[in-house]
Amino acid sequence: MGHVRLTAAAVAKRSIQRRPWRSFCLIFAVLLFSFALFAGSVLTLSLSSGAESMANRLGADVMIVPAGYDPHIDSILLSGKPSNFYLPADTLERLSRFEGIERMSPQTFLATLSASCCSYPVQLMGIDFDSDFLVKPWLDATLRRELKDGELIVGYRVTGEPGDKIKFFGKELTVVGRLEQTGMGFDAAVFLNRPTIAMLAKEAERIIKHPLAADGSLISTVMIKLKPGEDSVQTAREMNSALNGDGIYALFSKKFVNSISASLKTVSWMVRGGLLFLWLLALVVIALLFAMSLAERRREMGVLRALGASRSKLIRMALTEAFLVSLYGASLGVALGAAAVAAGSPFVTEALRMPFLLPAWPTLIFLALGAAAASLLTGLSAALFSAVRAAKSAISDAMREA
Amino acid sequence: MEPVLKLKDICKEYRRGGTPFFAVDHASLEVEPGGYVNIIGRSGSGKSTLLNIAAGMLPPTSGAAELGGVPLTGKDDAELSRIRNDGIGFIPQGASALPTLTVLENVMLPFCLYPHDGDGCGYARLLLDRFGVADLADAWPGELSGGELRRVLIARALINRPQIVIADEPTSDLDVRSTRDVMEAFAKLNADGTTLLIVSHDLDALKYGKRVYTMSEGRLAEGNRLAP
Repeated sequence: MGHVRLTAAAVAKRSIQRRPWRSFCLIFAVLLFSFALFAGSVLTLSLSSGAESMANRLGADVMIVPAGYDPHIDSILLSGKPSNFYLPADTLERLSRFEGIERMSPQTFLATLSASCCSYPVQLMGIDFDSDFLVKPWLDATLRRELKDGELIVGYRVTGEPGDKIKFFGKELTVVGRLEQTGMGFDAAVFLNRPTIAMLAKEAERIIKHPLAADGSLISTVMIKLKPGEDSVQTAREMNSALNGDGIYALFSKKFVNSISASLKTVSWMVRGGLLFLWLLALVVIALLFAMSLAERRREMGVLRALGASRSKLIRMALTEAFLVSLYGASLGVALGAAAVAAGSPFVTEALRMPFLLPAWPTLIFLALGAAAASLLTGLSAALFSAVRAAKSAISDAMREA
Repeated sequence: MEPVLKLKDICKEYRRGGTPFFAVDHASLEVEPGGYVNIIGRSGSGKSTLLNIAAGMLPPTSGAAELGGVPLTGKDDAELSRIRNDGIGFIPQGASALPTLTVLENVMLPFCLYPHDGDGCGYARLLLDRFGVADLADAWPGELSGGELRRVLIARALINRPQIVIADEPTSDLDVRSTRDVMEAFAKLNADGTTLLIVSHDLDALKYGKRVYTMSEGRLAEGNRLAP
């Protein structure tokens, strides 16, 4: 003979199971809200972390690029789109005449090909180890030595583990490290020293004619760090008025960050507005569904009261059901939100053309718990009004209604 | 011997179209332990209102109601609910089982609403067996016939061993045979010592009771005043 335990939770569970369509509608309403809340929060936070990371990673106050290439620089910084462009040979020398520069470091770009010569198409970035202040701090902290010839570091999203061999232009190179995620184009780039990139350009000559093969000292960009107190906007302006006619263009790095921050603000407000709308909608829909559900069961409520359930017990029973429905919806919504974020973040980066950096695990877990808690509270608040109303009905009136 | 249920000069006043009227008009009633009282009356005579007051579900406008010497008036909702749960086995009109619980769970429901000593599940099965519906323990209420369901509801009313069982039109929607089965079940219960107060408009139910009252326009009078 089986033993039966009939707690408020068991009664609520039975009610949910035995009324599948009504339960589905309620769970779905909560699910939609928690999905949007979690995915929206992660999206907003990832974009803002991406922008912050970009500002920190860029580390440079002014960037020098060939004139006419400045519109392309954001696609390199943001998506790591493979590109080849080079500055005039005397750029470094001409830049050194400007006062206010604390450090400057040249970088040489080489785009690999989608062909049998190369493991994959990617942006190769040749860094100058004597002057670099972007990648070197990471190397000092992790690799604790210089990048030797024939070695490379891969960005966060580039295939290859330390010790692996990767082939570019028929030449095998050794992976010695992987950069942390930046949410920028650096994640899709490969870093080498400048002699190695010049050597690769020579190898590339077998397939395509390349200016870097003839002159290994060519540089693509110069990252400039200004002395404390120097105005990057003013310095970039002065450089442009002096050098622009010679094919050299100075950009103040904040320009990217500022324009990204502006776009980010718009997106964030859109996401927040959408979430507020969804919250109101969810509150109304869940409240309506609970009101309908409890009105439909008014006689049941009356019977429970007649059997001895007090008003507070009846409210607790209704809220237990609302809690379980909201818990199912919230958990499913957060799980689906997590799956959507994992699957959709590359598309979001591409579509919004903004840096995207997923928060760390503890933050993600906190966001998931927060979204679930907010959904639970929404479900409970929406049910509370109907539950109190149902419990306040006169027992005889409630039971008269079949 | 002190009555199980005592209603003294009960009035219940409502307003209809702005005009006050008495649904129950100075009604008094005493039900002795082991008694079997039938209240008959036409629809709208006020018998269900009186029953709701007797069951602690509706406060009277004036008068006093007592169950086992404990006043039902002037108590808060929690106290009154506990009295209903422990002291009164109420059988509402119609199919009043919870459709989402099995027959056994429906019977156990009043037992589980508050902490009670004993084996509620075992006693619920015993009651189902006593009313000949033990094989339906795991069925859903919607799968039962009217007569079967009514016997389940009687079992539910008895789960907390109440001082009195109060039934509102227990045979209202049953056929002749089911009506007879249910009334015989009540008679047997009473023979075993259970106190019963039943409201019905079915005059055939009267042959199973010990005392009869007639309700008419809110007034309660002893005897069958509806007889031709």
